[in-house]
Amino acid sequence: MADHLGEFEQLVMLALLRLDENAYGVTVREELAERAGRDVAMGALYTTFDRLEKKGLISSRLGEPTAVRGGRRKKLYRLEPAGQRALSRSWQTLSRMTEGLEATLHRFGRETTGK
Amino acid sequence: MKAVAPAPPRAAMWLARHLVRGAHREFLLGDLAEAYSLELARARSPREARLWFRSQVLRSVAWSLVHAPARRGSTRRIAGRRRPGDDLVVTLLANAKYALRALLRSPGFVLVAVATLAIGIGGMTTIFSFVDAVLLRALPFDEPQGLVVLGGYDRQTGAGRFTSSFPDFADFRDRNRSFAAMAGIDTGSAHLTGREVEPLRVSLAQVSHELFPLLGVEPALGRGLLAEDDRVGAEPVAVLSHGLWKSRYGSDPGVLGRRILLDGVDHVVVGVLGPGESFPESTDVWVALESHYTALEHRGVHTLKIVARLGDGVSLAQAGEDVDAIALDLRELYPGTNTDQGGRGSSPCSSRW
Repeated sequence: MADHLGEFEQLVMLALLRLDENAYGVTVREELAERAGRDVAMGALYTTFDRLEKKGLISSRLGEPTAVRGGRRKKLYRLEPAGQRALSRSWQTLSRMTEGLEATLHRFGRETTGK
Repeated sequence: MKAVAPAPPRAAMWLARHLVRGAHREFLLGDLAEAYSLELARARSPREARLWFRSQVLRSVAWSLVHAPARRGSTRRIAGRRRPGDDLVVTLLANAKYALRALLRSPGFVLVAVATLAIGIGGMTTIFSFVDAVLLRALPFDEPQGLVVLGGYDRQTGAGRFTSSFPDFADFRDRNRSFAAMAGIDTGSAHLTGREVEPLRVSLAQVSHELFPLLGVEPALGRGLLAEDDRVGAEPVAVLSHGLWKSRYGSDPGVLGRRILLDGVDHVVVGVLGPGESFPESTDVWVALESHYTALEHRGVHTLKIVARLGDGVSLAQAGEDVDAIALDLRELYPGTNTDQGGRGSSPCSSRW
């Protein structure tokens, strides 16, 4: 069984899932900022990519160099089957833990945000 | 027409190129450049985009320095060991990272170490300031290597003595064959008063008229002290420092000829020195020695310092022998006051004494 996923690892892997074939540093960072409200340093992102790749949860391939990147290539990432399973397990765990608590958690959210 | 990609701020990009480490360096640099063009389209102004980019670069560099593994070899380089073929910068960064981690683990130790360093550096700075002023910094005068102070010692206690009586000074000045010129100096302070101005405590130097020519100092305004000023009963005159002239008299050239009161005695201002020309250091006012000094006849009163300029081709050792011989003569001539006085010798001059 793969290691337990940390919260940030889960967020990054969910971003890869959403971005499908277009997941690389810039787009993942944008996705995290937009959906999770996380302002992440680019360097921090690559540390996490590295760790997940070493665990066999994601894989990478090289993209084409582009002018807007100063002629540098992208490094594109995607979920591996082991990553898909680990992400699903995390989600199921969270779902089981939150089952029946949805209304309460919604209320907590409203109290926190004041809405 | 082909669109030209906006170039990220050059300095920040240079920093990123040189400091971002790790296997993903090239991809990260590409991401930074691309993210900048996105931010440029989104931001309210190009300046805002540039600020955003700079903060991104700094965060990525900081992250890379602390977390990125060394470029070659294992992910965790052992600090202090540099292997053949290692990049010097990579080894240094590995050592710096290791040191940073170790320090962060012991904040108490860091505090004590920083405090110790602060005290040490403070002490060294103080000592250096003194050594610099006394030993290292050249005097701001013509040929400073030719300037010496006359010194001696007490034959009974062996203690060094760098002061002389006026009669002894006059004998050294008149009898020596080694010095081109010699001047006596007595330092102290005086109250400077005048009409409609606040009284001021100033540093006062009573100096013989030879001092300024001996140092090669030409007043910026007016004149220096003349032989006529430097005798008993002469009209008291004063030369001002540039600093005092500026602060007290608002750099007014009309100060020449003005009467000022020093300890209640009328003095005519005859000159102002140029900026930085102050000897002894921090003197505000110079007056003529013989028209002020109260112990002209007392061989037992040792308050005068003697500064001299070596004659052409005379070494410090030769000059020392010369003054030693004169001191020996004076000891025989004036046993009542000079018996305890050892050979005077001479040593290089500094601005603080």
